[in-house]
Amino acid sequence: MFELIVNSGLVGLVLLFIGATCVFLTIRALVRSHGEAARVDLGISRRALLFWGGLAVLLGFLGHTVGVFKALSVIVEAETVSAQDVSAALLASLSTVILGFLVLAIAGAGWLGLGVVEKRAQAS
Amino acid sequence: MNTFDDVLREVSEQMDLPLDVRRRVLLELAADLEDLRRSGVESGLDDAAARARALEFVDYDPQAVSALAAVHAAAPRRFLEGLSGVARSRGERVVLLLVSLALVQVGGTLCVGGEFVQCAGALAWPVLFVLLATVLAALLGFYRQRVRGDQRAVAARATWTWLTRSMLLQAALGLIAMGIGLSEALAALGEHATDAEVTKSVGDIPEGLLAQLRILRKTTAALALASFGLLVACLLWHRSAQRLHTFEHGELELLRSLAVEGFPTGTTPSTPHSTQLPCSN
Repeated sequence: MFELIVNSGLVGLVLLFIGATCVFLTIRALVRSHGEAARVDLGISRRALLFWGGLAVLLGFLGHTVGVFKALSVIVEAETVSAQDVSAALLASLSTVILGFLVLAIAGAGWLGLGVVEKRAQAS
Repeated sequence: MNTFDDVLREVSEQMDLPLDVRRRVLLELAADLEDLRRSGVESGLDDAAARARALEFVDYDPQAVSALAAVHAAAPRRFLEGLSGVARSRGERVVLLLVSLALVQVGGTLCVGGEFVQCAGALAWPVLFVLLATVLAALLGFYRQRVRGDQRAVAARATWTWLTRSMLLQAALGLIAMGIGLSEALAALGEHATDAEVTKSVGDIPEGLLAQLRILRKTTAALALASFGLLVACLLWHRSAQRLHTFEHGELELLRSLAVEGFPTGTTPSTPHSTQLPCSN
């Protein structure tokens, strides 16, 4: 996991923060999930999780395209191709997209979990 | 509900003032109108005639309302007032700032040297054009809301709608670029299918494969630009949605307070048409 973040560079670091935000939002909404105001808060937190999850995927995809472009540039333009350079660029590109989807998975899990809590709160 | 609720709403939409100032002006106007209507009813007029006479007496003027903006709040003050955060928590705002900084860094990589733009070729220009239009629309909205202090939900919704469309357009352009790139790559694959050679080292990459790699590189460059544009549009859209939410919430509160503090006629406060929130985060 640590290697994944290191390989992703700055985008990976930002994705890590987004993941932490998703976890924080979920925990905060769960802790405050009592009362009428909390029900509204649950809805807002669920939408926020969707926003952060979507943003993480887009950011991961952006890092992926930039990484693939760099790898292809190494192959197409260079006279002698260094396999190390190509693999580093491809690793960076794959790491960001994997991290992006990982954050989306966390946000999705939080969204589903809060949905269950919201339904229970409405039923009671 | 105030008897002059419709008139007050109309005046509210025309007023280019911060919410607190607008609230004071509208309360004053509501009280004046109601006083006049009541005195008309007391002097023997029916309710409709008294209402019409009250409106004739007050006869508000949009230009006078605009002049009020200059009197009540100077541009720097309105600008500073608008700087108050609307994101839900400080942590979220910091992460958004980090995302923006990462985008600046990636944007620098994409634009400095022009390698991506040059490589993407014709596919880059529609993406860059939409990106430029998006940033201009956001800047215009920023100027209108922060510098001129125009905090009407109607105006904020126009910016929000534009940013939503440009976000969808960026996504569509990315898909088109991917479609074009993949079809070109497939065509090249068919063309060079007979060139199959055993590659012993990277230096021996056959020309057919190199052609495909160049096409894929072009497609990737266009995709990188499109996803960058989409992310920029997303962040601007998010900000715009937050502002719109704040303005609509403020207007709803304003109308509610007028209904409560004004002169109720026994009915429940009406909900304005613009209270449908597009995004509350």
